[in-house]
Order: sequence, then structure tokens, then C-alpha cells
Amino acid sequence: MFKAVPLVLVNIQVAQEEISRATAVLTRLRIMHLINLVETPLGKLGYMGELERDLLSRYQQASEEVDRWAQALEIRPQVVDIPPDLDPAKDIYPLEEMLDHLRGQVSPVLQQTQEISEKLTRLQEYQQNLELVEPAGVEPQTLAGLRFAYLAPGWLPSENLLRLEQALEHLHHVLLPLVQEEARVLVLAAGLATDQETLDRALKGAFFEPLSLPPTAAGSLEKVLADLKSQIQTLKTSQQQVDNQRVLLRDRIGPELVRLRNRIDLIRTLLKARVLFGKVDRAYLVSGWIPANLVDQLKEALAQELGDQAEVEVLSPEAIPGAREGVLKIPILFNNPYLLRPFERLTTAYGTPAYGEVEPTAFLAVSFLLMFGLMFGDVGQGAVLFLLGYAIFHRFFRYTDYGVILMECGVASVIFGFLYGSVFGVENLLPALWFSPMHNITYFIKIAILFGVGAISLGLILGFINALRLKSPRLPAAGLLAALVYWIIAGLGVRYLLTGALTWDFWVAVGVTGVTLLMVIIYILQRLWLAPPPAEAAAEGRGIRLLEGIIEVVDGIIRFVANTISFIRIAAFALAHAGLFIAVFSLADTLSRMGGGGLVYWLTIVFGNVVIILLEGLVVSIQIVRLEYYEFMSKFFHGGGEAFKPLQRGAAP
Amino acid sequence: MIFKIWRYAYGSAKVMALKSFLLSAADYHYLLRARNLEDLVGYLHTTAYGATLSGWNWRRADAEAELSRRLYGSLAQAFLKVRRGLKKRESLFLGHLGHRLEAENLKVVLRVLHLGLDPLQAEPRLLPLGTLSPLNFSDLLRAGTIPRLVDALAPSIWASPLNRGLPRFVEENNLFPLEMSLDLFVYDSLWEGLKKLSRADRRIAAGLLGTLADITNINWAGRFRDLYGFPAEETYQYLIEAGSFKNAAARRDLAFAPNTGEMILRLPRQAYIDLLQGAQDRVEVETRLRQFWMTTLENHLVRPPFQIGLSLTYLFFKELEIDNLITLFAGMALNLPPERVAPWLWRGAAGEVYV
Repeated sequence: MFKAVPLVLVNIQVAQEEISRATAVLTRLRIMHLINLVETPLGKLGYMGELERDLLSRYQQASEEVDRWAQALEIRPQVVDIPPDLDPAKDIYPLEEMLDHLRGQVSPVLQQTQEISEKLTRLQEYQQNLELVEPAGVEPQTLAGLRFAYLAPGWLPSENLLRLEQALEHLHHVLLPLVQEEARVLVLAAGLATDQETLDRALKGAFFEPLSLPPTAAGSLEKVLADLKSQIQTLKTSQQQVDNQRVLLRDRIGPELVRLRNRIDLIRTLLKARVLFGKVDRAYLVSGWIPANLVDQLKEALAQELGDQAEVEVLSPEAIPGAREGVLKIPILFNNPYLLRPFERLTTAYGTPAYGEVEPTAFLAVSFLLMFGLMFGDVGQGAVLFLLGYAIFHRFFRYTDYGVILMECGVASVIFGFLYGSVFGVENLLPALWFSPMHNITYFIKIAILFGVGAISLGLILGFINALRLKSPRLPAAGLLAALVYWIIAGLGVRYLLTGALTWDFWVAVGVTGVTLLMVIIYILQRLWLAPPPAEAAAEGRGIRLLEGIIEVVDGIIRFVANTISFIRIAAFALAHAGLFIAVFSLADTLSRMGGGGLVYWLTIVFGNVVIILLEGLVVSIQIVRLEYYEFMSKFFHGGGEAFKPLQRGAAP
Repeated sequence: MIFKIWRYAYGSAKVMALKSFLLSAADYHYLLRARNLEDLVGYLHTTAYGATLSGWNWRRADAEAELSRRLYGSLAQAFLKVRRGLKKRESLFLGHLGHRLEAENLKVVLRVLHLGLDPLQAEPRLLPLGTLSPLNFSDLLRAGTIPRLVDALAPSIWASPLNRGLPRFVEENNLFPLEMSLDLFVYDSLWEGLKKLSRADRRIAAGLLGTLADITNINWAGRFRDLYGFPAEETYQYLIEAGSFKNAAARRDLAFAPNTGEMILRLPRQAYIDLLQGAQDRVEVETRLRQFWMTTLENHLVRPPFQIGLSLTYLFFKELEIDNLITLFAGMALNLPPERVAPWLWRGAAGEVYV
């Protein structure tokens, strides 16, 4: 939980004939994060990736065509198992033959559907446009039969009407606005037939959009409209018939299309993955990271599919020179229990931890929930948050993580609600199991500071653990000293907060710790002075190093103390939460007294609670994230890692 | 005055500092004398462009696109630096000026979609605008088709101009209406932005932008007539309603002039007539107008610094400087001698590029 899943590097060597089946196994298992062999020392030994652009492009075209058919026939995406007997170079031929065969069945139906749909849209547009020009008394037959005049109805951006008038000032013309619609106006432009070309260019320049009317309409407007309605009706009947044919076709070829779609998808993944593989002559080398505990599963699956045709080599990160030196990045696979997993989003939003670094999600999740409970403790509102989270978890698959976080925040809020004795802000329904924030403000501030000391201390300890785990050349001496001083200050501060008295034994404690600290400082300074300086610092001289060290320590102490004080916001926001309740109750009381009665009172209470949940909930969450990122994680988090992305179907590696 | 000083003290000091990083006449002298590309880049490394060009490899196939990307990236950075130094009102106005760069990127996106180019290969052609634009141009390159791009831009300010040009694009399969609509929108937006400035600043900015609009109008009218063969009625629609051409009669005179000589005589300001008198063709008109624009900018630069004009002038200068650098690189790539490259550089009134 506090460490990412241990990974090992696996090299799989297979013959060219078996690479497709080996890749299919890896794609099915979804446990290998591929590395680009060309970028490793093996690339220099002649192992080259292979990008078969032409083949990939043929599969891409096939995929697009099958997708288009599936969409037109309303076949939903469905994942089916594909036997791993894939050979991209050969498979394309039967696949294209099959597509030709299917095209013969699908194309006529789709073409017919499209033609009818286009014709229907056009006729409906004609009908709509004729209805628009009807008030102007423009008859289609008049428009078609003009010899000396030119008429053009169409839409014009409103702001261009005046400009067009100005441009056409010296031409005989009429611009008749018919209908105004938002930012455009329907205009009937009229001029002499001899000026048609000039008029058209001027209209174009004004971004005029001609209104499409039936080209061969004859007879009165009523007759043309009646004809159009009858044609539209006929087309709708034809459309229904073609729809029935489409359903029959879907039933007949649907399963085959689904299978083809999946097969093409798998082959495309395979071809894309091959770019990362290394190839020499007729042998392929696939290299990638997999969880150490799944090595046997991988070996078993490969043996089952390929027999003894695959050579598998397993290397631990410690045995790989590149990984040891940090040149080869080891990806991170989080390893958290289900309830903490949604908080991984918060961790990755800050950065991806490096391999070997402390994985902070568990600390982050627990402290997040604790702080949320402290700031937003209320049984009723916590229950609402829980139900809201459950609704999201249950109904919106894409936002499951947020639903879980909300449910957990709800539980934390309910627990602290019991501790504070608060239900929707009412404090006399339940006894406070711990204390009431509004009546114990000083106490709450002490709690917040204590929490801050704990969080900062934990951050510092994790920082030292990371320094040891990542094998830093040396521990940050200034950081250690600053932490030591901080802990002494914090210890004395905590003692004062708990006892509240500055008695003689307190000053004795200050004296003893002060002398101890002085001795430690003298010891460190003496070591620093006597030890030969590291090469990079030799040029600076001991004086400068000492000065830098002192500044670093003082800066560290000030930062740690300031960070601790920052945690007072926990108490501040909890009090703001309680204060908002008081405001809501006062408002409800005033409104009900002003003549609103009981209904207005309860409506105000409900509305006030909704506002508090939404507004205060958001503000509290933002403040917690701020405390987590800036005060806590900045003490130890290095980041710079890479997320574990296993090879799987559909995802380009 | 005290109010102006308070308002512009920081911003103007910042612009003055940035101005000192612009290339000097001496810099141009050595840049023009560079013997080869290596020499040119070497000299630029000694100027403020050192960081911009760091790591740029002129031997790579996409070197030209990368150079343009880096140089215009420095312009976007300059925009952001100047904006940060200004108060909210003036900063918002500069945002309107920044729409010009956004429009350029949108034009790149339109061309890529129209020609069906590979978005990955086209990406280096985009100007890196950073926070100057809220749009993700890389995503827009992957919109697939122009109508889909217009849909994707529906929540942005660019929806209106693109929707205006879209029907004509669909009908003519030509990008001109879309690009023209974008350009007209940018100028409209600038004029809209002027309203946000104080009266004194508005006067200064309107003077500067009015001159720019005048030059653009004269150049466009000439190009539409002589190169594209547009009828006057169409040209009139594309003229910007600003500067000396705010008046409909002035725009009509410009659009309906049958040739360059007649156009010059019909210009609305005597200063323009004097400037362009005797110009034989469109190219000569454009060259003289370039000179005039430089002189206008120089005149603005020597005015008291506590006004919006300083920031605007600096940004225009920076833009022209980048134009000059690209010209220098192009000249070098084509092996042109300095005397053939020099006339294409934006040069100041004193015969130097500017001081």
C-alpha cells in the first residue's frame, strides 16, 4: 500500500512466425508495460522497431469502413474473444475479400438510405423556405420565368445589410427584408438581369446565403407546396421500407461485423506495438515491465500458446544497469485497497511517484478524510453527501471514483457530526461525543495545530525515508537539522498547549533542549569543517558552505512553522461551517416572523443547507487539497515517475 | 497626469526594458553581412534571440517551420509580458490585439483540414500562443473537417465569423470566405476593444490602429482589384470600416477606383496622396505604405511613455522584427545577396531598420 507494486523486466524472444500469437497473449493478459527497445542499449546492438505504415494504413481503412457500417446499422461496440492466430501480413487479404463481399450487401442499402435521407432533407428545406417567402408573394414560377429582372432570396448577416446597400448604390436594385432571425435577416434581392453577375458578387462579399428553392417548380405557390408535401410523404414511406431492410441486414451480418471489428482492432494494436519491439533478422525481442507476482501467469500463458517457442528472461530492477542509474524509467503500478484507489487521482494530479519512492495515496486519503470530517462535521449533511456519492457511484459509470470519494467524505462527515453533536446544524438533537466547535474555539485551534504538527512531521519522516530509498548520495543535513529544531519547537509548543502554563519545569525543558541542540549543531559544524568538501562544493570554500547551510536551516524552520500555522484553517473553516448554520437559522427565523410562516422557515432551512453543502463543501475540499499539496506532499514527494500502461486492445502503446 | 503615471509606471518601465532588447540598426548590419546560415544563427545567439534559438537545428527538414514557431513564440511571450505589466482595462484591450495571432493559427488549422494534411506534421506550423489563447489548436487540427471545426469552436468568439463564411466555403470549396471573415472579425474586435480604454488612450490607440486599418484597406483594395479581379461591389464588402475609411463614401471611392493612379487620387487624406503620388503599381504602393507604417510607429515611440501607445508600438515593432528575421533566413536559404534582401526588411525613416 505504501509502495508501488514491485515490477520485473521481462524479455521475451520469439521467432517472426510466432510474434503475432505472442502479442495476442500479451494483449489478452494486459499485464505488460512495453518499453521501446530502440531507446535501450539493445537498440545499439541492432534491434530495430518495425513500423509497417502501408499495412497499418490498409487496416486503418478497413477499420473505418467497418465502423461506418456498424454505425449505420446501429450495431453497438462489443468486445469478443479473438483466437490468437493472427498474422497481419496475411490476414489483410481474406479480410479485404470479406469486406468486398459484405460491401455488396451493405452498400446498396446504405446508399438508398442516404439518398432518401438527403432527398427528404432537401424537400423539407424547400418547403420551409417557400413558407418563409410566402408573405412576400413570391411565386416559384415567377422566379423561374424572369427575363429582364433578377431575384435572389437569401439570408444575410444583419450588420451587412447597410454595407450591401452602400455597395449597390449605383445599380438599380431593391433589397427587401422579409424575416429577421437572431443575427441574420432574410432578404429578397432584386435587380436587372444584365447586372446579375455584379449583384451576385456583391451578395457573396456580404456573406449572403442564397435560399434554396425547388429548381423546376411550376404553378402557384399553394400547388408547389402541396406537391412537396405529397413527395415528402412518399419518401417517408420509402424510408420506412429501407429501414426494415436495414434491420434484416443487421440481423444477418451483425455478428460477423462485430467479429471483424474486434479482429481488426487487435491486429492494429499488434502492428502499433511492433514499433516498440526489437527485431533482428527473423527474431523478435519484446521487452517490458510486469508485476513480479504475475511472471508465472505470463510464462504459463505463453507456454500454453507457443509451447517452447518463446524464450522468457526475467530481470529484477536491481540487476539492470540502466534502471539502477535512473536512465531506464520503471513505471509505477499503484497498489491500494479499493476504497483508497479513487484518491490515486489526487496523487497523480500532483505528480507520478518515482519507482521506489513512498507511494503517498494512503496517507493522502486518510488525512483528506480526517480533515474533511473536522471541517465539515455534520450527521445530516454527511448523510446527504453519502447519498449523493452513492447516486453518482450507481448511475454514472465514468464518475465512479468521484462517487466513492463523496461517499467516504460523507461517512467522515457523519462520524465527526456525532462527535460534534450536529444534525443539519441543530446542536441539541444529539449529545456531542467530543465537543461543539462554536463553544470551544480555542480548543479547536489547538487541535488544528496539533494536526498540523503531525502532518508536517509525517511529511518530514517520509522525506527522509525517500532519501534512503532512492539512495540519495547523502541525506539532506540542513533538512535534518531544521527538522530537529522544528520538532523541539513543536514539542515545547504542544506541551504549552496541553498544560497552558509556563511553570519552572517548562523553562528547564527549554534550557535542556537548547543546550542539546547547541551541542548537535557544534558537532555537525565540526564534522562539516573537518570533512573534505565534495568536489562540486570545493570551489565555494567552507565559509560560503557554512553560510548557505545556516540560511537553509533557518529557512527550513520558518517554513515548517509557517506550514504548521497554516493548518489553523481547519478550525477556521469548521467554525465558518457552524457560523453559516447560525446565519441560515437566523434568516429562516426572521423571514418566518415577517409573515412567511412555517413553510418559509423550512424552505429557508432546506435552501440554506443546500447552499452550505455545495458552497462550503467545495471550499473545504479546495482548502484540504491545498494543505495536502503545499504543506504535506511538498515535504517528501519527488515525482517524475511514469504511470504503468499495459498493452491492451485498442490502446496505442 | 499623476493618475496616468500611477497607471502606467510599471507597465511602461517594463516595455522600455523590453524595447531595449529589440535588434538595433547595427545588429541588422551584421545580420545582413552574415556569410552563411551558421553565421546568421551565431550572431543572433549574441542577441536577445539567443534563448529562442537555443537548440534549433537548421539542418533538420522541418527547420523552417520550427524557426517560425520559435520566433512567433517569442512574440506571444512578449505579448504576455506586456499584458502582465498593464492594468486590467489596458490588458483586456491587448487581448483583442492578440486575436490577430489566434486568427493566424486558426487559418493554419483551416488550411490543414482543407488540404487533409497530417495533424502531427502540421502541428509545428502552429504559433505557440501559450496562455494568450484559450483554444487548444492541436485538438482543433484533429477536428477532421471544417464544419466539425466550426462546431468545436461553437462556445468561442470565433463561432460567429466562421459560421458566416461557412456556407460560402461549402459552396465554393475555397478558404477565402472563411479567412476573410476571420480577418474582418479581428478588426471589428479591435474596434470593440477600443471602447474599454480611457478617452485619452482610446484616441492614441485609435490613431495607431486607424493608420493600420488605412494601410490594410489600401493594400487589400489593390490586391482584390489587380490580383483577384474582384468587382468593386464585392471589394467594398471586405473593406474595414475604420480610420480614414470609416466613411462609406471614402470606402466606395477606394473600392470603385479602376486603377492604382485613380485610387491614389481618390484617397481620403492628403498625406496619403502625397505619400503615394507617382507610384506606378500596387507593389510600389505597398512598399511606400510599409515605410509609412514604420514612420508612424517611430513617431509614437517618442511620445510620453504613460499611455497605451507605447505598449502597442513595442508589440508592432516586435512583430515587424520577427518578420524581418524570417525574411533574413529566407534570403539566406535562397542564397540572395544582402542588397536584394535589404529592401524587403521593415526599415526606419533614418534609413536604418529602426533605432
